[in-house]
Amino acid sequence: MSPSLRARRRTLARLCALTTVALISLGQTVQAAEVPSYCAELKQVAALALTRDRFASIIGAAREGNFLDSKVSLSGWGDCSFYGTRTYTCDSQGFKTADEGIAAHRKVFDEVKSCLHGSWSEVESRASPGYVVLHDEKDSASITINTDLTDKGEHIVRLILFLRSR
Amino acid sequence: MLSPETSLARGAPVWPLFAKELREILSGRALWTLLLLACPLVGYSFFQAISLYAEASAAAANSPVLATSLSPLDGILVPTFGSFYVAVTLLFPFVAIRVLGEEKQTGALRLLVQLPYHSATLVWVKLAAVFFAWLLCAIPVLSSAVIWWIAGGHLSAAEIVTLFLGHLLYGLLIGAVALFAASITESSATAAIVTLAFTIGSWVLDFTIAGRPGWLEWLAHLSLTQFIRTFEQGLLSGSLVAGAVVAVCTFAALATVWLPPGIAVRQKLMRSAVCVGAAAVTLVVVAQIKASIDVTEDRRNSFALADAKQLAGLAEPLAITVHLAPEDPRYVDLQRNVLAKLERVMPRISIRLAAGRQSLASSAGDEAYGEIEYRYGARSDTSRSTSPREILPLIYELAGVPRPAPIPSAEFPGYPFVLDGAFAVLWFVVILPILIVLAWWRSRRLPSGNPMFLKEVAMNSSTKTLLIIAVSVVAVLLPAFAEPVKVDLTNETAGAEPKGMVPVVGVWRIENDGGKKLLAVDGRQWKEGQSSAGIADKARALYGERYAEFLDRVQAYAYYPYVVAKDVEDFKNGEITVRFEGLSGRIDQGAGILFNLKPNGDYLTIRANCLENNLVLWKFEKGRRSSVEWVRNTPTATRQWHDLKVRIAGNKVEGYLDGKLYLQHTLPQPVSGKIGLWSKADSYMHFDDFTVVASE
Repeated sequence: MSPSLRARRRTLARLCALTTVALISLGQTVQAAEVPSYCAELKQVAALALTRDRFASIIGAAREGNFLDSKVSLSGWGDCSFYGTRTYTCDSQGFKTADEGIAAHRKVFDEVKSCLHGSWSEVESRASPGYVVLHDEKDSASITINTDLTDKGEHIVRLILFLRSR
Repeated sequence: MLSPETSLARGAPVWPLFAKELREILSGRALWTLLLLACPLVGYSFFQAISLYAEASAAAANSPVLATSLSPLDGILVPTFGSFYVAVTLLFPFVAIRVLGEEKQTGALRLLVQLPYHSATLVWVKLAAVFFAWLLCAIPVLSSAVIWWIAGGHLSAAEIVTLFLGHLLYGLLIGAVALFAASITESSATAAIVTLAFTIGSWVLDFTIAGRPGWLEWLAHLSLTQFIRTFEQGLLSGSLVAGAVVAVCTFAALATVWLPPGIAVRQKLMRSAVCVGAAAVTLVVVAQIKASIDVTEDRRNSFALADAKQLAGLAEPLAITVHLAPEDPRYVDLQRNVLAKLERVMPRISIRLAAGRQSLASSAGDEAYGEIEYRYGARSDTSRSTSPREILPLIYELAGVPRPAPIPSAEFPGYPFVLDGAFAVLWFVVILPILIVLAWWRSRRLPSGNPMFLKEVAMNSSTKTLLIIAVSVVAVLLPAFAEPVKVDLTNETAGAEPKGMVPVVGVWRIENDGGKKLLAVDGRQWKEGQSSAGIADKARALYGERYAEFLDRVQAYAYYPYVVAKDVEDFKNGEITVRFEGLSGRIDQGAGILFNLKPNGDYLTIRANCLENNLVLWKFEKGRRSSVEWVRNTPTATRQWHDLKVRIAGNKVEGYLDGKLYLQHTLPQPVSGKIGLWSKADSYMHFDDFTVVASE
């Protein structure tokens, strides 16, 4: 084999390797965009819902009414708290228009599905515009994602994770 | 050249004929019976009206805003005239039929037509006598207005004259129909059946098909109840008055055609066809009359003066396309608040229901449903609002004109007035009936006059039977007019628990919202598992000796806030409606109608949710909740008022949201139990107009 042919083969091999690395990197980059920044916390809360002690380890001080503080907040979300000991909830940032709220709702839904892929699935028969439901594999907990209008007139997305059976 | 008959008819005096007709009416029992029956009927309605008006007035003593909603037209006149309407509908035909039916039965008609009068003259004189009889029948209802006025209550001359005119035209129309029926039939009984078929058929039209789409809606416009309603709203419509006059004339003309004996039926049919054809053409013409006058003091049928002036000056045509079913409550709101007023004020306006007047059922899936398109000249815009506050600026923007500055005018102050109804009871139950009996007795002693005309026709058995039928019909149909039970919050104390409802779980209180009292459930303060304060006493008040089981269940499973209607012991069939608004709630914004509440605490509820846009029938057994029927895609925007309705028929349940039927389910057992309102978690909701219409 001539040196020039070997050089060409090495160049081709390097190109293939570089292309493969680039594609893998790109895939990881794309995947990283789908998996949200709050995925770790969400997985933690979702996992606790299925344990024997439920949310006991992350429930904080009592607030007004039936609300309690949460020791775990989803990154980028606000006002994460518990309603009683069985319902965890967080609000997104506020949006000026309903359209922005609806777009954010769709995005959050995709992010949550991506984050909990495999263990949670959408219940399409329960969905309405601006409202979606996911159940865990054992049907013992639910996540709902809905839109709401705040006192300030801002449109927000709200995530609620709750235990189903009483 | 005049025929001998014509010249004879022109020369013959009409007054003796009219006097004879009056004596015929006064000598019969039908008129007096009607008057006697009308006394308690009108009296009861008047008493109820002044009682409710007094309650509202007392509540308005410290609230100028509430006072502005008090109009004697709505509060006193319309309900009192409503009872008169019932009496006229069911009983007045018997009075009117008598002026012709008796003559036909006794053979006096054959003599009558030989006198030097045209058939038309005979019929018009009889109609004039019917008009006089109607005026006599109106004495009880007019006396109620006089009592109100003498006692110091406010009356608007324009409003009462308009209302009176509406009922007068209605009475004349019934009289003309009765005359026509008497002219085509051989006996009074048959004529009565024909006339009642007309009047009661009109009710049937109104009750059964009003608000339905398509040709049924057109048919419902023929309802005489709808005809009266315009006058009750204080609107004097040129086309309506002219149309009623044309209808009266048509039936009188038909009676003229059919009155003379001895003319071939074929000839009568041909003449009748000509009359009907002419009437149809005239009705089409009068329907084009747009002129109408809003006689109400609060200008409820008009926009503000500045807006009316600005809109009247818009020269381009305005085309409005409404994507709503006619039976949709939003369309009713839009029609009343905006379209009817625009039609009155704008010279060039066309309104169209899109999709061929679609029905609510067929609207599912139509994304444009609920939209209203406005096209002014070449510009157009779309809105979903039914409020003039949003629609008028939109029209001004399309027209490129600024929103007009308000023109200073006197605000409607409202007329709160508290009147003790004791005298009204005395008048309608004792004094007026005695006066009527005396007048009856006096009428029987009238001079007989010409024996041919004034032969006293004794009350024969068929007339007696007719009256018995009429009274029976009134007795049977009156319950249909029973007022629905509405939980009245006007006397409740803001900040306190409601008195008309019993809070069982959750924080329920009366709140004042811009002068109006509403029932609120405030889940923001409530802790799950907490029953309402004093629950033991409340349980005892609801279930008496059997309260213990109920109390145990409530205390064990106090997870969902609810109140129970105090005055509804056992609801099995009928409709329960409520209006609600979601104010806040992170976990839930739920509003439900609770029913089938058993002494063991089990119940059912149909609830809407502003955060979920779904309508669900839930079952609660031993504190455990399970969904029975789940309907998604039910738009329920937060911070907006919605109508929720549950209709029960045995074990069949229907759930409506904003007038649209979404949920249907058949339960294994018929519904039976107490009813109330329901909510969930941290929901902060307002409820209003909780109304129960129970049926057998």
